[in-house]
Amino acid sequence: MEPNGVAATAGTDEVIEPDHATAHFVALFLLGFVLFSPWLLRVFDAPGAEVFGIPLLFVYLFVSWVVLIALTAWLSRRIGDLAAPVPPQPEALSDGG
Amino acid sequence: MLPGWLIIAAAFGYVSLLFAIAYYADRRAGRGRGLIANPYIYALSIAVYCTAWTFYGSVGLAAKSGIGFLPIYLGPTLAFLLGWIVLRKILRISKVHHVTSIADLVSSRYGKSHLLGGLVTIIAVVGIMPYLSLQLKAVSTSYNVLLHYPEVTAAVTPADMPFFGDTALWIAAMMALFAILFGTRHIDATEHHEGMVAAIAFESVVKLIAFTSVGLFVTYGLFDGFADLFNQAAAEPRLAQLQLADAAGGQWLPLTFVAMLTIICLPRQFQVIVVENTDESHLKKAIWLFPLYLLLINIFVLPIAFGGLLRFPLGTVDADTFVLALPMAERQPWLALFAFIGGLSAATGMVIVETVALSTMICNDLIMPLFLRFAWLHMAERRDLSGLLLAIRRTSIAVIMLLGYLYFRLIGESFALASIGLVSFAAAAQFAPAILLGIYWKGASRRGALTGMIAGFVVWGYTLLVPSFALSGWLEASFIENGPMGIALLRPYALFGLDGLDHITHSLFWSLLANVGAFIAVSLSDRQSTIERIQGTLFVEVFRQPGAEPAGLWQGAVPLNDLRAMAERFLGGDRSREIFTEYARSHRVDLVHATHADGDLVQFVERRLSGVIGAASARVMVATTLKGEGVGLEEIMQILDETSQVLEYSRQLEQKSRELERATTDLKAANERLTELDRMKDDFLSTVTHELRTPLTSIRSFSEILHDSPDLDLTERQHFLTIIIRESERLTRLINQVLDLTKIETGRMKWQMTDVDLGDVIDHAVSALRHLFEEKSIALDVHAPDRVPPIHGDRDQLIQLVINLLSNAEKFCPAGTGRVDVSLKTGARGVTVSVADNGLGIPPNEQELIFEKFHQVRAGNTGNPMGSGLGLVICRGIVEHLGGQIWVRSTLGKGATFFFTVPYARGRGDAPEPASAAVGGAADG
Repeated sequence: MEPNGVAATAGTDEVIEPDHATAHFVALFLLGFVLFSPWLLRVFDAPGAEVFGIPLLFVYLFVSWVVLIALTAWLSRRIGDLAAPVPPQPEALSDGG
Repeated sequence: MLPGWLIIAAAFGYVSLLFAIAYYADRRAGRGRGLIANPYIYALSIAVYCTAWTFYGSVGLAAKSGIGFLPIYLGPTLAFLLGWIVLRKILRISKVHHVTSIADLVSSRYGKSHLLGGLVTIIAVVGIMPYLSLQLKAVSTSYNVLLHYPEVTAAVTPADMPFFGDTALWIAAMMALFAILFGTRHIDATEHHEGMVAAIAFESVVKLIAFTSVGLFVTYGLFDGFADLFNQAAAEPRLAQLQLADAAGGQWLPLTFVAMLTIICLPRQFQVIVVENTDESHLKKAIWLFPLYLLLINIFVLPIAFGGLLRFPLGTVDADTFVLALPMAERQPWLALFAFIGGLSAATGMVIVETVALSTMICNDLIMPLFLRFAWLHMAERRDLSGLLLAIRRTSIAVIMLLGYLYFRLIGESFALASIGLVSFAAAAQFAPAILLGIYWKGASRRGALTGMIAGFVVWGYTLLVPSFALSGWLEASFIENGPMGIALLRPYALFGLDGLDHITHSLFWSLLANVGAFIAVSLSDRQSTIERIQGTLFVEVFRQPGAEPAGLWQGAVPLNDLRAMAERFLGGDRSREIFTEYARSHRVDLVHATHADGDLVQFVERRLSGVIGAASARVMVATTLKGEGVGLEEIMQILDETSQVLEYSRQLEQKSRELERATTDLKAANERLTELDRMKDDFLSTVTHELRTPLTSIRSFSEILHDSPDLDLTERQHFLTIIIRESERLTRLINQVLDLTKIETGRMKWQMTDVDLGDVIDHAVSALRHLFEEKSIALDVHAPDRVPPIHGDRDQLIQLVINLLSNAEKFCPAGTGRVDVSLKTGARGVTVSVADNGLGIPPNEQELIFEKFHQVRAGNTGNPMGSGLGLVICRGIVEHLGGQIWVRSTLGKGATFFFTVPYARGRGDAPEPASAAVGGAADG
């Protein structure tokens, strides 16, 4: 059994920036870009299509906007957790040594 | 009725309220209880992004292009999704380097270059001017519209009015006064403008409420809710067209993109996001609060636009004034007045922050470097410069406002609000490559940034600014139609024949292409100077130096008095003394008796100075002070080179020490484990010796009895000899087991791995022990399927394993009624063998322990140990070596069942039909 396995080396990586959140935010940005891209707007750009009397396109834009904000809020609350180092795994005392 | 005096009184009352808020916040900050140090105020202050353009212009744009107004707000939303990554980096850099403006950031990044700082300042001033004039135009138009209440008319052009009768001039003057009072109170620009920020945050609330009030009035007062409004709009073909995405045209992507860039590149956004930030963690909330604000203020844009278009006949009312005109047409004077105040707050917020940011740039990055350069001004020798700095900033604010006003009078009249604002956006976007590439690419060079920015600015000017002169009649219209001197390729709105794009997209494409292209090309072919390399590294790797100030560039001793004198000239006596005390305290040095300052202190002072006069000027000041001490340019360059080597060396050292640390941790863990093993070995030895002594003692004592008593009768003699033989056997077994165990644990056991049929193994073990069971009349039954897929293992060891388990079961079974069942079941992954007895059973607390060495289950509390305590340990060693598991289930008094599993031989992926209720699915070999 190797002492200090993968978890330990990942924790002491030389990058000090505790940024596990980066990938999440980049993914969110890409999602936002796709949601607001003119191509996807065309999909929801149906003349006459309505939700409670409001044109589908407007509803789509504002709902996507709300979703993005909610996801950002959720993610930003978790930044602390995400940045926390992985707790070292307790070594199983086995094999009778 | 809304008489003019009432409107003016309301406006003055509102601005006075702002003054009061700013004054109060400044007072609080002075007493150390700042109002602005919380994420909500921070997010609201960022909402200074929403100007009169948003308040009036969005509706105007929506009336022309439907959802086409949205990209200006979706862009920043997208940019803020990356806020935690990009903005936080800029924030951190600015904190570490005491950056005071966007010009300072760029100049500092590219080797504290004067030229770049000055260039950014000039671009900012020229580029923002249309934007400033837009605010004045909006306020003045809204005032004039409101003045005609209740009659809704097309706006009166201010050009018809006398110069001093123009409300816009007085509004501009009032805004300038506010900016001067609350934006240039301090000398040290890195201290925050608490009062200003508090007022801006308040304005953000006012404009949001005002706009939403008008929106609610239109939607639910004029119409019967959203559905009714949109239905009526859909009934008119002219408006139905606006409900489609096509209405936004090809501008959607370019506008989103430019808005993304400008959210950080506009001087005022940089001011509120970066300079006025008090705590990096506020960004965490702001990255979703600010987009939320944008969403809220945009909800009613379309309803108001459609409402206005439905209410007023085509072309009678300028769509830019719908926000005011709708309440007026419905005879709602107070709502109209409130809307006017909302627009006023949107405009004043923008103007105040923008002028303060620009004045800081003009002072630190344009005028001070020039003053310092001209030796005949003897600036470097002036006693007290802090007063001069303030005077420069205050004058700049006044001049900027005046220029904005002139632009508005002379040019701004002919455009809609939104298109004026976009011209400024395109200018601000020219900073983006230098900033964004600068903080992520160490190779970005000063000359690259300079060339790129100049190229971008020139193209921007040619494709957006110059044509706007032509449109206003300052140049011939043929300039736009046919190009300069009739060269069609150079038509400003269709450069090189790029036709069919709107002006903004066209200009953005060419200017950013020139900017980024020149930037990258020059940077790649450039050799960076040492200070550029150092600054580049410090910027790009800002997160790698947690808290630690980088090594100073200045070496050698500088007379402390010279340094003090220099600091006093810029900061004033009190502030300067504070700084030196702070340094002495934080670095634990005695400055009272010292005569010379070391490099660290010089660096420290330079940083503080850069907070006042900008990085580039501070550097020159320090350099001139030191030059008197014989530190020439040559020497400085040498020092810089050495420093960069030292930096590199120290990075390597850091890396080494980190590796060492890791090795130490590993060693420590290994050591702990060794100690543990040592202890276990001791335990083992003492137990083994004990276990060996017991049979030995009994052998010896019975031998002694036999030896000393020759007259024992035969049966007794026979009995004693049997005991001696049994004990010797036990001893042999024990020693064999110890040897086996040692071999298994040290890995010296020679495993003969083959494909083994476990059924065969069980048969073998059972036949070896059959007579033992028959002697004690214990029933022994085997339940196994006919065909068992082979497993991978050592046949002899497996036989040993089964024998161990069987003899274990035999030991604990009562003679006569005992019963042992051996079962074999094939599962998805391997074969499970169980050996069940109906003996004493194992107490639950011991079920885990029996697999430990020398743990023996005793028959009752006083009973003798019934095994060596090693059999099960060996079993576990064998099973685990083969990749299986061993465990026990038992109820006290009802017997125990031992299970072990061994995986199938490799390469035999297809598990046979599970003979028992094993979990189905493909085996994983």
